[in-house]
Amino acid sequence: MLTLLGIQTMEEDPAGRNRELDRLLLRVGEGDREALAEVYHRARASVYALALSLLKDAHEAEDVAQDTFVKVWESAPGYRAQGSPMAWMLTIARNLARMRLRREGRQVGLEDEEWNAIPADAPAVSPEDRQVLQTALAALGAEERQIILLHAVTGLKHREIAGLMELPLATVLSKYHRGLKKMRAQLEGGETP
Amino acid sequence: MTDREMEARLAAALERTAPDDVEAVLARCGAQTGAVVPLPGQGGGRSGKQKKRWVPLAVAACLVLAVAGGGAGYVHQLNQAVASIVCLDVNPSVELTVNRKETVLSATPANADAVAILDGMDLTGAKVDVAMNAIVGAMLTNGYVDELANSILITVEDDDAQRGARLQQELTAQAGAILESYQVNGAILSQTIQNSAQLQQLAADYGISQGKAALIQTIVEGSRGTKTFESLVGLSINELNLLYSSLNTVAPAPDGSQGGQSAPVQSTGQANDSAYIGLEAAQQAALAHAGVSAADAAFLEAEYDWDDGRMVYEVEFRAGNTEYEYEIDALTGEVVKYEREGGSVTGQPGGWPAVDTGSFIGEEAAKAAALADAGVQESATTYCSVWLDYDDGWPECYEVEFMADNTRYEYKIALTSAAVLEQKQERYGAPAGSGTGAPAGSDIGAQAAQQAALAHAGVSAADTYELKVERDWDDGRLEYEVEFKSGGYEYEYKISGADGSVLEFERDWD
Repeated sequence: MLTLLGIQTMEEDPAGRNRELDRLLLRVGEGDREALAEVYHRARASVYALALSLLKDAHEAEDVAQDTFVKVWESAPGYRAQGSPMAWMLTIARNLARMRLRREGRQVGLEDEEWNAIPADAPAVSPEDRQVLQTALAALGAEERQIILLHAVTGLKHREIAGLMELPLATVLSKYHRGLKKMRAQLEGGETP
Repeated sequence: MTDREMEARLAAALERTAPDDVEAVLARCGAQTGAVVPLPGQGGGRSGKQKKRWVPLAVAACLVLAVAGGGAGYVHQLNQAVASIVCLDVNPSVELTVNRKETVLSATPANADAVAILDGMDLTGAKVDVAMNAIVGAMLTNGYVDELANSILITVEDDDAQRGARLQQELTAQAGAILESYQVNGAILSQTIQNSAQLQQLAADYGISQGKAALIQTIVEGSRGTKTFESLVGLSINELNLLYSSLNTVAPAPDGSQGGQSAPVQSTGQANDSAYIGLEAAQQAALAHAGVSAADAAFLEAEYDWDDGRMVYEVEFRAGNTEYEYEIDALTGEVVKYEREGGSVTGQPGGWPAVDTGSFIGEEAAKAAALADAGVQESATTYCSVWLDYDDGWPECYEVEFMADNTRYEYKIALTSAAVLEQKQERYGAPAGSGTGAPAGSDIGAQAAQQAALAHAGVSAADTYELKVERDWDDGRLEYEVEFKSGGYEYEYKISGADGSVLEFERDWD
């Protein structure tokens, strides 16, 4: 019940959204599996987006997303509310994705033609979704892609994205704007006959 | 499509694409094992001190060792009492609490980076040197410390400065030994700080550890106003070490302190800079750009700096009576900025890179090109100015401005071809000699406005794309905004809704 109320009040309120996620994570730390399910519901797209932007492979991103929530469950007893619960989870996702890249010995992302953004069995994905993900994202550089996905999906501020990506804020801002411009050109170019 | 709409579309696509199988996750979640070992009776905080706000999203690793102080009291109490906190910044993060016998009481990842590092390790009950060995070893094997980024920052927070300094020395020696055993040529920065609300706030605001915040603050203070805290937050410990080392090579401040440093940051080893081109190459790049031979140059300064989001070398030298200042990109050797002072003001002094101005069309030709494009005689202008415009020290184009028939024109003309690169035109007041001729409140309509714009541009509708016409009111005046692209140009017009006259006109490269 509290959770439902939370959903209603936090939609357009990042601070409220963070507080609610903080509360949920503290409950996860106490072994509350329902709270974990709610965390999953709220963060799955963000965690998946980050993993996808790093790995460029839908199947691997799905694996990392699942591993991330298992790791969140395991680590939550040590979690302390600091006002940025999404960033905490995304850092876990980032580390798991990086470890996977290291393990596979591929530090550099795949070539564009190998970019596999759409899961093979995704009935809910519309042609428009495919266009946005496949066409637009293939046009972006690796860091532009990560920044835009993080900003669009996670609601993280540019400063938080800079922290997560270990990049200077100015770099994040310029890559964000440049990436959006590229994406628009790609999408609108595709739409204009 | 606005930026917001585009992001919303992307978010919606990902929402539908992301896996939605919470049961699969829950099926893998067994008993939680990563629980922090709490400090009994302290609620996890330190004895007699305010609970610290260590930030989870620290970029750098933070190995916090809470070490029990000596003195009288119950052994059990002493075993739990915390006297100091030690923060080891590398890259991922770990927190340890340690009792007075230097035995680990708890091991907690201080940020998510350390979750993977601590995975499977049970350090409770281990001696602190063993724990430190294991953690630094895991960081080394996971690639967080290597020859390219070999710097570690050890920060001891202790209100007892003597005890803090002793611990700082012990841990520095210990970390050095671990790096040596892994055959990594490491560099260690160490510092002792006191409990500070300001540092806590900075660390929380920027999502970094207090140790890193303290180091950045030291560098900012030492930079004498040339650096801001925010500009350095994203740097790695290795990059901060390079900057800190650069500050320390600067001549001592008037009070005799080294490079204006205010905090006692000790440095052992040398931060690895092999990712960069090196000071010598940077000096050569600057000399080559300036056209000065090494024999003629007296170098004044060459050091690392962080500017505009990249690592640069600041190179200063003198040749003859001219002083040069360069910023060279530390990764690429590209000249980022340069300045010179003194020497001859005109011509190409001291071998300054020659610009082949002989191929330029000249100001008169640029003016003629602009006037011809506007269809205006110079005699009909109320003023007409032309000048060579520079960008980053290099000639970019000619700019021509003139006013005729209540219209102000601005042109950018190419240096060698006289091509019109950019044009702006703005009309003030009523067109000369015409009056509007149209009754107040009349509307020529969107189609006529579009025709007026196309006729002015000399472009047929069939040759345009992305043609848009919008009806607008400006200062009580009906206008049409007509935009279109054609022949590699982008056109923007404001057309009077009353009489179809061109109120404003802009043409730019698409």
